Amino acid sequence: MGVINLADGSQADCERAETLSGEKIVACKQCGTCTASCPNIQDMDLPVRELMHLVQLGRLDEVLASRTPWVCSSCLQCSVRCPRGIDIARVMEAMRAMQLRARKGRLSPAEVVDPACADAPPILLVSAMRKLTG
Amino acid sequence: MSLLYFPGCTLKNKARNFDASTLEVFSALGVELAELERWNCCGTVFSMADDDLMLQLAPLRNLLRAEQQGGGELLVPCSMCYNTLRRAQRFAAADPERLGRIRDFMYDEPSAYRGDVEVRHPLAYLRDRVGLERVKQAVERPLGGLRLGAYYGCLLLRPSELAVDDPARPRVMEDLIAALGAEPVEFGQRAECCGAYQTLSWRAVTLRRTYEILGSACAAGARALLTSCPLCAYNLDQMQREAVKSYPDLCAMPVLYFTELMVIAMGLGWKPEWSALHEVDPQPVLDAAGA
Repeated sequence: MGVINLADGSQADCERAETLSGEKIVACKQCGTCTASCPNIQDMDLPVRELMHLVQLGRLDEVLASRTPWVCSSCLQCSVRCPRGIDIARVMEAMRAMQLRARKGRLSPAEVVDPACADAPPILLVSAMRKLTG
Repeated sequence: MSLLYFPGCTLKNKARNFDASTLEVFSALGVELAELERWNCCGTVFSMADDDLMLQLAPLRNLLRAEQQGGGELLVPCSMCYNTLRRAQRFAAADPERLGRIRDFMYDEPSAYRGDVEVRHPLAYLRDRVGLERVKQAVERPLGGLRLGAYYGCLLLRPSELAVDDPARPRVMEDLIAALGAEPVEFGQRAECCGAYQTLSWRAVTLRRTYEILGSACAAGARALLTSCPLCAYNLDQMQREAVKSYPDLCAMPVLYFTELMVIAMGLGWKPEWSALHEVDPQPVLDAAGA
């Protein structure tokens, strides 16, 4: 496990994530309740607990290269169960926001025109576009 | 009495059965729903980035409309709309400077956003204001002890501050099921996510969630599921056809809106066109009521 170094500039990246999410990410003590609670964990390449630790270490490049923030469906199980009171879903949203604001979306509108989606309810189309399109 | 009502986009489209059954049920219970005028999309998902005020305007403008049309309570049946409207309201109220900026964005409105409309979900309204005892008295075709699972999903229970019931052990939908003469069965996955919008992105996530939720309900003995979310309904009902290809032992069962079940039990008349909006035929539920 890495050591949080307050002097090497990595703190700035963690603070950036804290500002965007509004959450005290350094408060995470790595208990893993988030990972254990996540219904989508099987499809994540970076478990939620490890993602939190990488953000603490300021290693955002690795976090942003992972698919974990995109696989998160914002169900808030991790947020309501976190014993440190961190709204982890907001941290995931911040990771997505960093990518989306750099125009790196997960979903392109062209893909959504698939005929298989013809019977999709409007809330599915709108929510996917809002969450995943840059 | 009359109550302001926010249907949202999907209740005017793929979930017309949810809209129509809500109106019928409330009317039969003596509450006339007055649809909010000039409502717009709620945004569907609450924006959790701290600095993104623009994405809060869609939900908050609806609440401002409700204030302009008499305020008080606003009934919102769709779980996504309910969750988004209430979270946006709390977000705006949490910080005076933020609230000021949000008001500035809506400068062209005839009145300033106050944030005092009470967003209510029909399940909580039925329990707290109408009373489930009164619902029970309105039942004309009890459901013959049919075993039904209440699927809450995420948005009725999380975050805890806006939960329609105890977020750890909800029972409002089970109590409603019992009032309608059916037998509620609790199952482990009743408050776990259906995969939500991942249907368009990580489809495997939704397919597995569909399989696991239905399997959990099936193991507990449920013959059908109830929901209040059109996206959960889509993932759990319409996606069964595709999920069974990946999971041949998928337990198929109908998925109904809780208001549809009320229509059946209260003898208000099931509309044949509602059946076409379901992937899995809800006929077994109708049969249980002799409807």
